[in-house]
Amino acid sequence: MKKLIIYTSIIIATVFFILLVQYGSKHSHGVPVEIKKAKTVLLEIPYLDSSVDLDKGIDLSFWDTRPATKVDFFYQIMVFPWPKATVPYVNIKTFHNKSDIYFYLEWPDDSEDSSLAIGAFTDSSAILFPIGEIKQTSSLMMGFLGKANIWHWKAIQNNEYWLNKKDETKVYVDFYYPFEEKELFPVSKDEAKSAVNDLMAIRVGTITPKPKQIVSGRGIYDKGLWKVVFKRTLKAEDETIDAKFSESKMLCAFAAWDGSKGDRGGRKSISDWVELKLK
Amino acid sequence: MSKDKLFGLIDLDWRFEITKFKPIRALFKSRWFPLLLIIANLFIFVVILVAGLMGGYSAGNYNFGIMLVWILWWVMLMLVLVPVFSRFWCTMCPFPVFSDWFQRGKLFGVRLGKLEGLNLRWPKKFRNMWIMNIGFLVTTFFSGFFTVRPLATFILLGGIILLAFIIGLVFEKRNFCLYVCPVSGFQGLYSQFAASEIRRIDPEVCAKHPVKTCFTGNEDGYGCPWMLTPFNFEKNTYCGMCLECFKSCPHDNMAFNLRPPGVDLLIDTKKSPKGLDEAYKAFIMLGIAIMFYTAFQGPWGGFKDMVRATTAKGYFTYVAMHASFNLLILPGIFLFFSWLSKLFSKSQEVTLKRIFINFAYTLIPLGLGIWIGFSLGIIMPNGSYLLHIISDPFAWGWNIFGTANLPWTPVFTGLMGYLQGVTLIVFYLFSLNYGNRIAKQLFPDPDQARRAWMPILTFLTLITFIFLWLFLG
Amino acid sequence: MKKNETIAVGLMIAATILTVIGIFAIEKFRLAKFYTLNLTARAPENGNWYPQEFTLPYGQKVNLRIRNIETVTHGFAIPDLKVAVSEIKAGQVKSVQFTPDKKGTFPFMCTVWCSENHMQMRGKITVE
Repeated sequence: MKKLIIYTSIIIATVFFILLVQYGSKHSHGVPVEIKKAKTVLLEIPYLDSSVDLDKGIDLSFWDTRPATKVDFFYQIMVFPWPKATVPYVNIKTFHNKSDIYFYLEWPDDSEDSSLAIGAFTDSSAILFPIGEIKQTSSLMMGFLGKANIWHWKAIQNNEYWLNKKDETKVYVDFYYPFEEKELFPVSKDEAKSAVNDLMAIRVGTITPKPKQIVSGRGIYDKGLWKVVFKRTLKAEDETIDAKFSESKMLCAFAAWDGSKGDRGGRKSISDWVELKLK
Repeated sequence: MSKDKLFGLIDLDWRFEITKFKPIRALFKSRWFPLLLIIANLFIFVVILVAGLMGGYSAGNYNFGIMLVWILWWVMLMLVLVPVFSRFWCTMCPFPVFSDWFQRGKLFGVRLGKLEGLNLRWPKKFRNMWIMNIGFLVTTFFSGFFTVRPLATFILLGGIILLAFIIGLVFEKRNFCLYVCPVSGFQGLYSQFAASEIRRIDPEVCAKHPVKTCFTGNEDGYGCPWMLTPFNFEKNTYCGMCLECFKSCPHDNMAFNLRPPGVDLLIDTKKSPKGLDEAYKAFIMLGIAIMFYTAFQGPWGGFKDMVRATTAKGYFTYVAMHASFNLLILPGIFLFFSWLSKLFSKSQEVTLKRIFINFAYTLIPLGLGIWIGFSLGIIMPNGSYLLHIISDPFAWGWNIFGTANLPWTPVFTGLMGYLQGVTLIVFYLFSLNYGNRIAKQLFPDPDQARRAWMPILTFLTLITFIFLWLFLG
Repeated sequence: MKKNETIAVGLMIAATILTVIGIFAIEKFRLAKFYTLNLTARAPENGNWYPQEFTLPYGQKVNLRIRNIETVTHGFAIPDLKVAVSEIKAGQVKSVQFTPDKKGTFPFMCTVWCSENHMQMRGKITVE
């Protein structure tokens, strides 16, 4: 009887302690700890024996048959100023035909903003491809720590290049705004040679046009949606600065700017990394 | 006992009995003391355990458990309790209170006759410091977590309380405290240096007292729970200062004395021999101090990362390094100096083992000095966090004493290195003083003693220089 | 003697069981005084925001108490409701009071580059 009491006491005390430790390890930060692995969207780039001639338009009847992958956008809040609203998502369609690669981006926007004035900004979208070793697990402000190739389509350039609608102004306010709303930071403007700027960067604040622009693109505004196609040769001309596509997984990130909401520069909606895979 | 004087100033036989003051003796004889202290302490530890369990801030500097245990308690132990009051921590320690309660069936009163529990006797081969040595060393493998992970502190303290309870149920009396408790080991070792002691007053009174109630117990107090013989024990090492002997002695023949620090280091009798287990405890404590200092207060971030287990490989390298340094390298170096000592002494009678063991006791004052220095390095920069956490112990935004929002204020950090240096030199001098005496005890021939002492003196000086360099940068 | 034993046992219970109960009771009482939501900030690899989804009452003043329990700095923002705490340092607790004036589900997120997985440090708040 005495032994029974002793052994029972020992077992009860031990079990009680183990339960406490178990509870503690689940609540070791004061609240329950449950670690979810972030899901990355996988975007497969299939082979299609097809092509889109951008000179003739973006061929909506073709794209309408293609399946879309939805990627959510978030506020860019790493640096000030933050955007005032987000573009909620972007639908992406893609394929290659062994010589060219195509990306079709479609995102909602209440208004078409494709001309510039002081205090007015263009709608646009971009794709970022990190180059070389990827040091970060988040896309952050589209690139952050590493080298990247960025394809940036702008509605205003689209108008100039494809529709030959030239604005009167030769200066405009671009993406740098030290004084928020009262900004006046004019930038002189070149004549657009493409609707897409083929850019490179090695970290924040280093964005620069590539010496050779090899990305083309075209977009239309259609029933509250922007529909934009990016096109480039599948093979990278210079692998040190051009996005390289291969059968192994690689990353990219998307961004969109809603001009009517004041988006420009860092004030934009961004996606997290999306995985790309050539098939 | 010797008639000579410590530093030519204090007679080694000098004692000042504090319990000669009536209120103090009355306090020591009251059954409320140290029970109330223990319960008050238990309350604090319950709060610590809740804070450890609930996490609070994962950053250790805002966790009540971590701050109280590792900043306040540990520092108080090393800075004040052990060097001055011997094992006074054990007096108020709440860890074994549950098994005491179970064994005795009473908290306040005295139970006569056999105690509850299985009452097994502690195995003879474990009646030494080895379990505590290994246990303490293994505990330090995880030191990188205790200060940053509140739950690690909870597991350590909770585990100790649980183990104390289980061992108290299976084995008789305070065997847990005597031979297992990791906090007990170093207190036992360093309490030999303490400036106070509990001893009987007059051996004649004890001799004339046929029933040794201090050992067997009576209706006023339990027989020594630490299984010492209070009527004639000689060393602080295993006296947990539970004060039962004050209560059970009908002749008031027990005393709490102030004394010159370190006199226990000279004791080497048949009843209390110097042993390899205690020698190793001295090495482990010194080795841990060296490792901790380099890891936590030294400028080597990479090493700190290893201790904090940033990578598994780094961590295991640290564990292997730490263990071999404490168990092999440091004792190995000391063995070499002991061998030199034997060589120089040209003595045939004294064995190398005895030289090694007895001289290892010279590391006790030095080791304690290093730990005090290390503790200063903890409390001075971090002490101000204590004000924060007592006001908001669970990081729930409480502000009990209005000090929750005080900013972190390190105090006198500019002076810290010097303070550490001075402490180290003072304790180094104690080491030298006692080392000299130990040499004379070992070698009756003064010439031999002097020659044998030289290598050990060199060793102690080397260690001191290394730490002076570390402290003063 | 018997009386002393009872007192001792009473003190023992007060120091252990009553202490634990008391701690949680006080906290509960404190929280009941006004509409408070506790939010714990952790990097995603350590468990992310807790809770990660929560509901606030529309048009009623709320007190959001954000506790950074980590060793890195975090930030907090609900851009749609124009609520932001720019910097919550390691170990800090910051409170922000506001009245949700829009119904719907809105994202909130960390605004400081806190970890490799910073982008995942997000949650949803519903106002209804």
